[in-house]
Amino acid sequence: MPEQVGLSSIEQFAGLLATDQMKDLTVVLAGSDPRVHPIALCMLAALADVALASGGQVVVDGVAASADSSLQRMQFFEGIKRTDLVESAQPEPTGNRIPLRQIRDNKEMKKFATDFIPLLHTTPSAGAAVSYVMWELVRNVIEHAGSSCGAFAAAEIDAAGRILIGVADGGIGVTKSIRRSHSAPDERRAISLAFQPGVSGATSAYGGNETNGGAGLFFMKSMASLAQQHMVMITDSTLMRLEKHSMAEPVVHSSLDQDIVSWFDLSVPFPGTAVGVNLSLEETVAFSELLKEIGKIYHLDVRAGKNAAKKAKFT
Amino acid sequence: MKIHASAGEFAGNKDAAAHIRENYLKYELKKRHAVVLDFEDVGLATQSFIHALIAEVVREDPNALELIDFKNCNEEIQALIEIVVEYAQNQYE
Repeated sequence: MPEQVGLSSIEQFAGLLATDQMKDLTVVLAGSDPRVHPIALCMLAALADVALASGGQVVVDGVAASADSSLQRMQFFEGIKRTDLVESAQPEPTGNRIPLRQIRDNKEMKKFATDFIPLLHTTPSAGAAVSYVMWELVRNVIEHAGSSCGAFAAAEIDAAGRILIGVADGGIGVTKSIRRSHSAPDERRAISLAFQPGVSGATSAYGGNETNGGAGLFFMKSMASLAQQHMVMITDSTLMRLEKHSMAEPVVHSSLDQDIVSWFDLSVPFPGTAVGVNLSLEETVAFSELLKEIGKIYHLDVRAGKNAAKKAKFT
Repeated sequence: MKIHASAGEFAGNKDAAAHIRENYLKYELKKRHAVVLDFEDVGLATQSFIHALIAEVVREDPNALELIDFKNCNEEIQALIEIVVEYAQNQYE
């Protein structure tokens, strides 16, 4: 684990994953207080779960993490099931983080939403955005990942005032999930489809089915785009990073092909899916404005119906 | 139907949405009864929740919207409902 890991350089972390074909997971700590994006913590927790489920062990090498270190505050060692490395003197929550948590089902998600998301002290609009992203990402795992370990989730506010969110699982990966219902010749195409509104691995029908609309990742990509922040997906042998918009007025695109995206091929595949999103604490984009921008995409992306669409009735 | 009673202040639980859809919405609409989805005290919902709540009903019969009263929706929830109502009635390119 390097000293610092952010979404802007997450490919360096992913590139550090190595395999010797053994079942064990070995985490090597390079420094006494590594500062890593929550996505990295969640990925390691998912890998630990995969190792343990396969009959392997979780080994931790390197410098011990003190009680006030970032890894201890994020409850990383609990997450990788090495409770023997947990320092007993845990500092009180400061409102800057949601510690690493494992969420296996809807009941645990409700508890997570009630007990942990409020730990993050933010503005109401930012708090709503965090809740939104967490619910959607974790539900995606529960519904599509085919993972017995569920999802690992964590969040933190960094020194620059950004909210860093990570969710990861050790499931089937996006390519397999999308290919259940759609044709995807390669992993990049599968990831592109996963971010396209109206596409769900649960059904081949555009627009989804009664339960899945195929819009969750698109909404989150839109949030990141309008906040001019990064979003990352790591799955199988591919890492996709949505780059920050440099335009004065960022726009929402329906297709990843239209976004500024960096792709990386991983020499060691990640067995599952990990998503990282950065959001801004400032209320520069009100949630309602975000939804209006997204609404335009849906309106422009659909084929015109034969008759004018019926409208909802509000009182 | 008070959405807050089933889903809380932040409506993200799709199972709760599916329960309301199957046991209240579809049941009443089948008998052509007017229904009320009251979002009082619900601060925000996910698009997934709204989709699970109403997309199938709207897709199968857009005229059902004439019988559905979306009550006490704030600006964000109204925007989400309008997005779902629109795409549920259309095909994609």
